[in-house]
Amino acid sequence: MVKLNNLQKEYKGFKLNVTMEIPEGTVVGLIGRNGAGKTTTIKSILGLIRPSGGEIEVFGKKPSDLTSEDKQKIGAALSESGFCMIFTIEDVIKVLKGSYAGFDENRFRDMCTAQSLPFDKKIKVFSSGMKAKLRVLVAMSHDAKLLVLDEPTAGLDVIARNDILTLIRKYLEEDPTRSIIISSHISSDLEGLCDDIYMINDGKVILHEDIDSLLGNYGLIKLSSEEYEAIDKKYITAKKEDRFSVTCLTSEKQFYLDNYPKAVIENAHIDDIIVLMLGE
Amino acid sequence: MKGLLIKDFRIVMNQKKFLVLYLFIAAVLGFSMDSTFIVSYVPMVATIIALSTISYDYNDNGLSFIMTLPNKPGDYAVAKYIFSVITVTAMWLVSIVIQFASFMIQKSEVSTAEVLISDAVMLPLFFLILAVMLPIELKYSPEKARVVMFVIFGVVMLAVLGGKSIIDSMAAKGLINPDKVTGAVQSFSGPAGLIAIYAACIIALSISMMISIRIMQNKEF
Repeated sequence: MVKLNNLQKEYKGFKLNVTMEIPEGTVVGLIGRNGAGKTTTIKSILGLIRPSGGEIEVFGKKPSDLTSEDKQKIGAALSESGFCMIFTIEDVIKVLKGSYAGFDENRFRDMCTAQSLPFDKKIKVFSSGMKAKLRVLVAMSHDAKLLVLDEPTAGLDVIARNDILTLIRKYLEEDPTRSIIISSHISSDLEGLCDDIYMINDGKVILHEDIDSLLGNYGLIKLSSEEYEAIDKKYITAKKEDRFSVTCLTSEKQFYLDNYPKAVIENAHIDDIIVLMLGE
Repeated sequence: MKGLLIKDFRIVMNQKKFLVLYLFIAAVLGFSMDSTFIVSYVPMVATIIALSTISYDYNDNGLSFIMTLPNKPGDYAVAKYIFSVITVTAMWLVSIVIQFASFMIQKSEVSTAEVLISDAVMLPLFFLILAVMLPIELKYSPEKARVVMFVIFGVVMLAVLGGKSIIDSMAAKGLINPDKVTGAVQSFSGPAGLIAIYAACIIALSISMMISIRIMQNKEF
């Protein structure tokens, strides 16, 4: 559905170079620190910025060649960018009705009601969570085949985050051919949602794994300094040292479980992988 | 495109207090002062209102999201021209209605044809302002556009004053006859002149729109 081949974008002091793919029916997560290149990647997919090099294909076309009909199949929710703040949801409905042939007004109204979003209040008085929910609901309002969600849960409390993740899960359940690319710096949001994870740092993809192998194969090995000296470091991807111990990240957890049965080996979560790989 | 036009219309409709005040002042001016003033005041404010929709789009980084709607970047520019021309023309017509209502109430004896011709001259002036301002507002952010606008008006004022002093000095030297120049300008104010003014403004708006389409196509959001 979406292919990025050596996508390059240069800004002063920043260079993005990303290769990735979003196949039909998959949820791809983009994780990384603030300023890593997640939003630049997402804006390139949406055709909001022009790449300096490389290729992007969305539905088999360059983003700049997408017709209005092609764009009808894309639903976008950008972080901190949405409808005019003086609008009410009633205004939003009128604009969506005039923009998308597939806009389902009754469904949109039901979803807004279910999320307790008021129809007659201006968006500027909404809480951050309400604004974020509205952005996601707008993206889902017209039966889009591709959802592009940039940091949809950023800055929200855990309940609002869960509400948004539930909305996204339901959207996927309705049609398994739908695809989603979702960026976040809150990796726990992505663990239970994504099929594929791309980790970006300084504009480069430093890790690409499907979520099952990421959670199944990656592990944390906790060692003393002496144990660390003795261990086979063939599959150690990253390490973090403190005064008395070393925590190692491995992409071959089973190798160490088999060969070092006494070592303390735990499952690694995406947060652990970020901390060790990015040194946060 | 339809969605973009609805968006701009909803932005204007959401400024109800301002619109009520605007129409109230228009009515007061129309019925109490020189009613010809209203035909310049009402479309002028409509021009500002139409241009202000760009500021609303820019606010809170909203333009990025607007560009994800199913339109080409050039459609955004075209929609702005359509919306602005419709808004200004509609309010110009409203101002003429108020003007003639004022004439009727005050029982003024006026030549309808003369008043209509002088009203008709006003509309292309606002089209010309749109033709200049829309590409500037789209190229730069509305804040920067204000600075550019002041610079342009400054240059125009200098050009007008410079032109006047050149004509004056040429007239003093006997190179041109001021009466002939005035006569030539006055001969231009008949129906043929009016058609020429409208044609020139439509050409200016068309060129301006093509520039704006190119600006939006080259812009990043």
